[in-house]
Amino acid sequence: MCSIEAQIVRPGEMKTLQELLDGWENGALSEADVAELKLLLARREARRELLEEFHFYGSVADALKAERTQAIDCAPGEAGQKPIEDSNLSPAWSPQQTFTKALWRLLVHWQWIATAGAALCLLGVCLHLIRSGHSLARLSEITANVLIERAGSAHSARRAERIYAGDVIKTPAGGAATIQWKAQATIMQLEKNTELIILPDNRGSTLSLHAGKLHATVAPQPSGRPMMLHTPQATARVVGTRFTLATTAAATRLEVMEGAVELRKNDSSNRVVIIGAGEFGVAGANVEFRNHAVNGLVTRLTWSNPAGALATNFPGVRGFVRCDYPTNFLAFFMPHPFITNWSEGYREQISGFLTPAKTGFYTFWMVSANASELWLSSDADSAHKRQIASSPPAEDPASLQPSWNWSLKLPASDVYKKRNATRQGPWHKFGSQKSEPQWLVAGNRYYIEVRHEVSDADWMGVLWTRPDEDAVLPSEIVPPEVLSPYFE
Amino acid sequence: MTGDNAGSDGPHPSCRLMDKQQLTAEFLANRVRLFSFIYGFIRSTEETEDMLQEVWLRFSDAIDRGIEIEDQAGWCRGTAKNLILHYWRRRRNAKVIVDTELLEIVEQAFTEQEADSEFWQVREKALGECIQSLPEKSKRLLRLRYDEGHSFEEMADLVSKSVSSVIMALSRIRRILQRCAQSKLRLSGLAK
Repeated sequence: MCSIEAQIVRPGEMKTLQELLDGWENGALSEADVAELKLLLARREARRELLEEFHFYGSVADALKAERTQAIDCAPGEAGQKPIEDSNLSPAWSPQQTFTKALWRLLVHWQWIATAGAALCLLGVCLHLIRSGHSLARLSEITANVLIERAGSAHSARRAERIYAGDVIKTPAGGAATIQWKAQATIMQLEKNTELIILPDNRGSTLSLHAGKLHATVAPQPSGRPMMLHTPQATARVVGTRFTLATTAAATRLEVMEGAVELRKNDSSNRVVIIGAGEFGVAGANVEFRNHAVNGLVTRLTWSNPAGALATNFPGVRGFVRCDYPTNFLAFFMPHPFITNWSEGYREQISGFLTPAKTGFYTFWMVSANASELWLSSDADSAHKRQIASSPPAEDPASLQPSWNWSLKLPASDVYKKRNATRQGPWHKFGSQKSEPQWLVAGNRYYIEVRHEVSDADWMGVLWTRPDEDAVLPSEIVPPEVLSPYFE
Repeated sequence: MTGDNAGSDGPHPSCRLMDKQQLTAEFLANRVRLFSFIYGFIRSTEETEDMLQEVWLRFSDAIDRGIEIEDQAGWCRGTAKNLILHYWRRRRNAKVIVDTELLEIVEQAFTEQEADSEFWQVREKALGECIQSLPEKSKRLLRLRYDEGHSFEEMADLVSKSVSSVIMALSRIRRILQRCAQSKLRLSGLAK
């Protein structure tokens, strides 16, 4: 058996393999020892013995890591397990200790020993955990019952709980969590119904977003080691920036506030786009994969084969044709180049966020040749939307044409307004086209949505008057500068 | 955003991720052995974890670039070997003797074990169980050395013993664990 004395090289004497391996472990190998070791390792049996020694390290590290994880879960240990005999384990321990241990065994029933041992073990491991720093990050904030899946079991997260490689963090409906990375200023806020996996990478810089949405501020990453975020449709490569990443079963959306993020599509094209500050990109089926400006756009989804009332049967799940991003709430004649078969009916949902520059009452008009509805939310949550205006379907769809009524181009002069105030226009054909005045606060984001039955000779537009304007006639089409696209 | 994928060409977009997840699972299955290989030459838990991460990053990058890797374990060991050499070249003054020849011998030993992977998996599990059965005092020594990565001198300070006592105690624990694992392997009929 190895000892410090045993490792002193004795001229003319060969060491055993075990002595050399012990010397290696203890950092006490001389150059001569290494040469000797190499000679011994020429034998296959010696290499196997070496392997046993090497395997020991990995197994020990893994077992200790697993023990640490169990302690975090506060799972009970194997209380009934009897410690293996090791009375000769530590000769430097005092005989008094050995005597006390023996006396203890005699006096107390073994279950008590096991229970007390398990409790002490847990306490020791917990104290050790407080001191040690092997976690990658902490959950700095949690709302509702956030779950952490670790080593095959799940538990409710605690505030300030440490996060380790391999952890899966799940936020419930109505829940949220904030992850603060260790030793760097990286923060991620997970929204409701989000599932994030920290992949095995002990810097926590490889993540997989399976569902939901996260807002991230990523500190500058080490050169050549960017943060990688995988979703089912794309991979985002981040070197340090501020962005929002969201994913659903069909698409992944990345919006960048600062810096730039490389977004790679996970399909055979393997295409890459660089999303810069103030831009977003979407990866998914039937969505153009490129960068778009965040402001001045709305999201348009188009479906074929519509049926039923707009309000109750929209949007359709089947027959999805395309998602794209028009520049405003105005669609003229034949604005759907991707529709090739007009014999089928189509519907579109155009949605976005409206951020007014001035507080006050705004009045909206919904105009279209075919049926349409205008919905507005009291805040940025689409669930709070309500219908504020609508245009009924044409009585005779065959007569639809873009010039069936007045042009949407609006001379904004007061003279024009006074002269036309009593005249019928596309915005006065039906009373339902004009909304009640809507109180909007400057800088707040409001979800806004149009539902529209599309035909090949159709058009539609959303118009408004601002707080300081006379709400008799619309003054303009809702301008791009107050709009930004919506994404679930 | 909802919709079907009708009309889209090629495999489902999530296939690539699924492949990667599968490769990740395989990487994790070999993790303990790769850790052992690296730790044997680095002798620092933290540095080993870092290097393991570097191997994973390079492996992941290779997969992303579409490189076909038939022998994942061998590829990762080869990458680790280069990293180990680079690590020690940067620490020329360190009192550690590592040369290419020794690295290759150890790599050869690991390659030879591939056919015997069941034995090593059972042994890893057996060792884990044996560690659980150790008294807390012994476990603490193991933790200080193999989890927290303390030097023998630091350990001696922490447990108020001499350096030689700590080295001797750790050697004894290693032997006890090797014997314990061996007896468990005998019970499972896998002992060599």
